[in-house]
Amino acid sequence: MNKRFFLIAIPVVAALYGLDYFLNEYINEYVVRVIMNCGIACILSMSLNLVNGCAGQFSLGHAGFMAVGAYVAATLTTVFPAGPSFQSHLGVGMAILSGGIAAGLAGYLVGLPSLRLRGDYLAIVTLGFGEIIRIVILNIEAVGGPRGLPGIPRLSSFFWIYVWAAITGLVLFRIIRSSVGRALLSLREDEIAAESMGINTAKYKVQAFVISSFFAGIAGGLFAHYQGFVDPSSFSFNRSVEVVIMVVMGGMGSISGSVIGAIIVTVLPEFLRFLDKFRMVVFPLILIILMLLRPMGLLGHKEIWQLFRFKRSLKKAVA
Amino acid sequence: MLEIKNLNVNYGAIRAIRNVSLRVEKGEIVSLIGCNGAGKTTILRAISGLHRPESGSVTLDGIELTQLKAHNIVRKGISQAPERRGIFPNLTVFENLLMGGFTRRLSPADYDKVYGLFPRLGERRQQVAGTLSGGEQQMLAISRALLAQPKVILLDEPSLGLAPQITKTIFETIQRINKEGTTVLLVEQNAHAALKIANRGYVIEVGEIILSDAADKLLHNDDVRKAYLGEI
Repeated sequence: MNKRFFLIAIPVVAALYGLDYFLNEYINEYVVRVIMNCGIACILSMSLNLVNGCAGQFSLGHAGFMAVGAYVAATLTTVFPAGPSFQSHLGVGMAILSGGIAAGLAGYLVGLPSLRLRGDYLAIVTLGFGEIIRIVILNIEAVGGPRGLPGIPRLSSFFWIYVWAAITGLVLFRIIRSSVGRALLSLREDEIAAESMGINTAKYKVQAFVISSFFAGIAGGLFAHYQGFVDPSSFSFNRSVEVVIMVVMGGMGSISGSVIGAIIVTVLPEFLRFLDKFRMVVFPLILIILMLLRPMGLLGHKEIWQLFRFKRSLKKAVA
Repeated sequence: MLEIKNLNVNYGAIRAIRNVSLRVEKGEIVSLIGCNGAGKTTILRAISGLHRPESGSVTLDGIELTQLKAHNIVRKGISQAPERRGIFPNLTVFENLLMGGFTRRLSPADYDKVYGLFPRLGERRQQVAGTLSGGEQQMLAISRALLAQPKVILLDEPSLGLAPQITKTIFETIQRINKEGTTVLLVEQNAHAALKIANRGYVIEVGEIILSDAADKLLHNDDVRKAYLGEI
């Protein structure tokens, strides 16, 4: 927390606050909705990137963690008798944080079997886990079961979603740049070699899962308090796949890539609405073409600013 | 220094290593030679904790290693340049080296030392490791193991798939590393090259040590010459 951090953080927070006001006053609700969805998608894809992209552990259960976060946060503010005392910005913030922590714990539980599994097998286990969470929720009558949980205070604004997105991005970026991040990268590259470099692979895998699912839970909490309603079908397998698409398309291990991936996957279908029933034919087609053109993802392993720096140094080398 | 006693290692129901005992004294280069599938790599994996032995003991300066996890064994002073090099292909040379020093704090002098041993790596420090040639990758694997500042470095087939000229360079560097104070346990199929730089040697066949002697004696041993040095 040095001076430079505040020098950047304060204007960013102020700008977000101003934008929040501006969007609510002048922009139509549909556009605002898409922008909010983008923010939530960014948190999801950035957090999944830590596990899928950096550590190379293919997880298909991200929606499950999101569901844990969403339901825990929504239960605190809506179902609990003490709920109304949570119905302030601070209260909702606390509830969302609790949702994140609960999801983090769930991530710990999934992280454990991942120690012995890799590749496709891990994907199946995490997929199964995500579905188990959804089906458990489906059968808890207290949170509405299949009917869903209505009446959640709609308190997560543009401001809160993007503040959390910024926090997610910052935290994950710092992690990736630290020795923990390097340990995760080496895990992806060659697990046995990593172990013989003195890296406690078990510890770092579980850490990655916990951090990643914590932020997924945060995204879930934000989602619940912005929709005002959650039901188990919002957290189906499709949602997990969507997040994986964002990560793969943006570039494995690239935080800025995940953001771009999240924006494309969220916004593109909206732009294609004019195609009516062909929308969901054209959208996947565009994804296929994108992946054919950039098989390593839009940004590859790099961050967006590294890409530009590289081009600049290339130009210098040519000149 | 490094002492292995009555080591037995299984892969499932198959016993890969039978009652192997060997020792490496401080400052030595010891070569372990044998053909495909003899169990050379398995012994190294058992030493560095990547594969848990069935029974027997591995001690370094009297400290028992068999119960420790691989990542803790590195901290005790053993590091390995694994078979087929095991480098991280999508990371740069520099990042690979950084991983080698994961267990400790690296100073620029550490890198300079490695770049001194292998100038080629210094030139290519920003290059992605997967795009290095085989020889350069081997240099990287050895350097990476060195950066953990081991007491004993385990080298698994450093000559694998390399041109004779590069093999020669690498073996010369191994000698140099040894002179600078690191004890070396070398596993090789290239018996000639391995014995030439070693103080002592062990010959392993189907999981058992059948011969052990001073390296120059092994070089002139008739059985070894027939079996491993391609002479009739």
